[in-house]
Amino acid sequence: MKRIHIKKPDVKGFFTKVKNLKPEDIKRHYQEKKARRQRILEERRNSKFAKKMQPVYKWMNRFSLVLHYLLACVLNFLIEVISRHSFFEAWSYMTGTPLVFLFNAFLIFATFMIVYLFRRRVFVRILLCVFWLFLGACNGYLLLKRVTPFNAQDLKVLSDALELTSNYFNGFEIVMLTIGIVAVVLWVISMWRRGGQYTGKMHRIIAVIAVVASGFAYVGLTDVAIDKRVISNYFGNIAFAYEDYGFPYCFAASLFNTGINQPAGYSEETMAEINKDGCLNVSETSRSKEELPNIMFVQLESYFDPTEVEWLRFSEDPIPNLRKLYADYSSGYFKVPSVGAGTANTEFEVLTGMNMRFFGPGEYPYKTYVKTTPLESAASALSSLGYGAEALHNNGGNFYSRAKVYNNMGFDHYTSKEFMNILKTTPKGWATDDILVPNIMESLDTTDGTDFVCTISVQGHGDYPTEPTLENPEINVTGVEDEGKRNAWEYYVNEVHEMDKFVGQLIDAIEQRGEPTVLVFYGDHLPTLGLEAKDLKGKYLYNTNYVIWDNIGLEKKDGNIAAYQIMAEVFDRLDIHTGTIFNYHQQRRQTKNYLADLELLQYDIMYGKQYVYKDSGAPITEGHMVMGGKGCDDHQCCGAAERNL
Amino acid sequence: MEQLKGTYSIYGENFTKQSKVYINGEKQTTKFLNNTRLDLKESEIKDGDQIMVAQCGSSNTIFRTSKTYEYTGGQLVEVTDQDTDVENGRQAFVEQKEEKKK
Repeated sequence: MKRIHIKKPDVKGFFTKVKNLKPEDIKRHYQEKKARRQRILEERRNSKFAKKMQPVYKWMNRFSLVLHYLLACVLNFLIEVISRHSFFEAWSYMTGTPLVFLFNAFLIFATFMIVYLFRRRVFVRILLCVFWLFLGACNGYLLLKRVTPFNAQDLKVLSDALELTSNYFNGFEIVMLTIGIVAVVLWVISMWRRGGQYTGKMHRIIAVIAVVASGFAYVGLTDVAIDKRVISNYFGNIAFAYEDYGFPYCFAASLFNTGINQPAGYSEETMAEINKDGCLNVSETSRSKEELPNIMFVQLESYFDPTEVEWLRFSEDPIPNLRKLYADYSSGYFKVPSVGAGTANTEFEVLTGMNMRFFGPGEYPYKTYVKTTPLESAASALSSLGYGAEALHNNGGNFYSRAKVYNNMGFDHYTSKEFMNILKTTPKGWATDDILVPNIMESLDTTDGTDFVCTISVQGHGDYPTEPTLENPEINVTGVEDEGKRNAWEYYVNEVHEMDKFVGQLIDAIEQRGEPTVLVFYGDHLPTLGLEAKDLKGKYLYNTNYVIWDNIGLEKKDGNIAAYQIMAEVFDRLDIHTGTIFNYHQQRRQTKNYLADLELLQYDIMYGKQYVYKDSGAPITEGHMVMGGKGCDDHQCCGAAERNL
Repeated sequence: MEQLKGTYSIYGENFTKQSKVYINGEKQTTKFLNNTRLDLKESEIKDGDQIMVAQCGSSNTIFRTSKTYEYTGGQLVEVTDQDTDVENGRQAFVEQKEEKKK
């Protein structure tokens, strides 16, 4: 072993050296460095060990396809370990459904065909491994924070996500993350120089053919696997789908399978049959203009009645206002398309009446369609009856691209966080919902006559801190053994209590205003608190609660409603018949082929030839929305610019 | 006058944290005091400068702009140019690119 000598730093010598430095010296220094490096690499290549390994490498190159498949299996297993946060769960997934496991490994294997295009094979293999493990790590991390796994939409909402980085990561995590990424990048670069290179003859054309062929093989194999029910191409719950069908397949599906595929039997004749005599194009009501009430929908973020959880105990009822509403007005379970996340999809179903199940697995139509293309909605449908259409949201206007989405849906105004004078936030930094009350009232003033108002709240947004956060919580929660979980539940329940207060304030304000109004409250999905179906009284993870309040004496009619049906249902109770999809629900609900024809209708409107609009014309061709609700002329009047020295 | 360092205050209505002042089309570091007052600490305003307030969202989106005012002798005078008035409040989706030039 060498002794460590600590040399006294030669400060003076260093300075004389620097002083006499010539450009040639620097050049020579770098040349020497380069030569030295080459020599080391050469030595390494010719070392005893490398010589000994050469036949092995040769053998490995010969059987590279088999070895790639083995590597793919190892990678697949690691990805699942990271995704499931558990070695044993990954193991039972692999041994329990070996076909699914091998199918996913095949996808990874297919990407390894690229290796044969390059001489630096080791480097390319490393790059592919890093790529797959990085995707796995993203999934693993996101699943710590929410229940929706990593999918292609996350790549598209990256701009939103970056803005929310501070909500998802703390400072320490960001630093560690940066160090980790930099280290991996440096290592990969060093392997570019040091990694073994293939010395045999290259067959690039064959390699290209192999890449294409393996791509087709994957597509073909997917069809066979779906046919044999090894995997499914419909994700009832994206989180469970990832667990059952594996990360690589599900991620790829979310990347390549979006929109609605043309259903069997789609033709002009079929659509004419569904839209007989233009029955879906009507826009009518028996009510006179004075009798038409304001229609308001309030989507409460992550809201459901917490007393639905079997084992939770509360010091007092967290939702006294809503409880009273449930008793006095039409209410029931609200079937939503998402659990623990996916706000925008519940919103999409409510506003358009369309069913999420026909779209690609894990898709957000807001992102994949409505952001760029006009689409009829409750806003456009009610506008044709003379309603003003207002949208409000106390979070950033670009979140889920709502500023563009609402414009394309035919709203008149959209008041986002940027237009609200927000003074209060939750301990986690979300705006509180009470700010919505004055803003909703103002939005009613923006247009003459009756209004359709869609409000999206944010106060209950996750995550819910496991450390004690509230100083004097109004509601104490018991019944949870784990203290961290109890803290999270207590935080959540108190936010729900705040939402309930907001509900009370809003109804007071509307009663004071005295206009005829129908007001619907519903939760968009269950909170991200690890609930399972058996924990709930309803034994179903896709149920939240709704209530339809009114001051026009509607009959109380309880029942369970799906998110895509509620708008049509509310319209029906008011004898309003407008909007292609809403008319469809009103006329065809509980008839034969209801869902199959709904799929045809959705396909026709969004991706097909729009045969249903043939005679009536499209209800919306472009947006006309103005941001902010307040009067157009006097917004932000600058009175004076004053200089204070 | 433009050599002196000081703070300008813009008075108006309905300001929020996301209100940003633009001078001749350039976004300024704007401090939100309350919903009727914005402060500019680092900006210089000369006579003839065009001043406007915009509500900005993420990724440099301008959701909505106020009318444009001209700074003359310590006063803001509304610019009644038809071209800017017609589009007022309808520029929700104008992506702002000038910022990157800096």
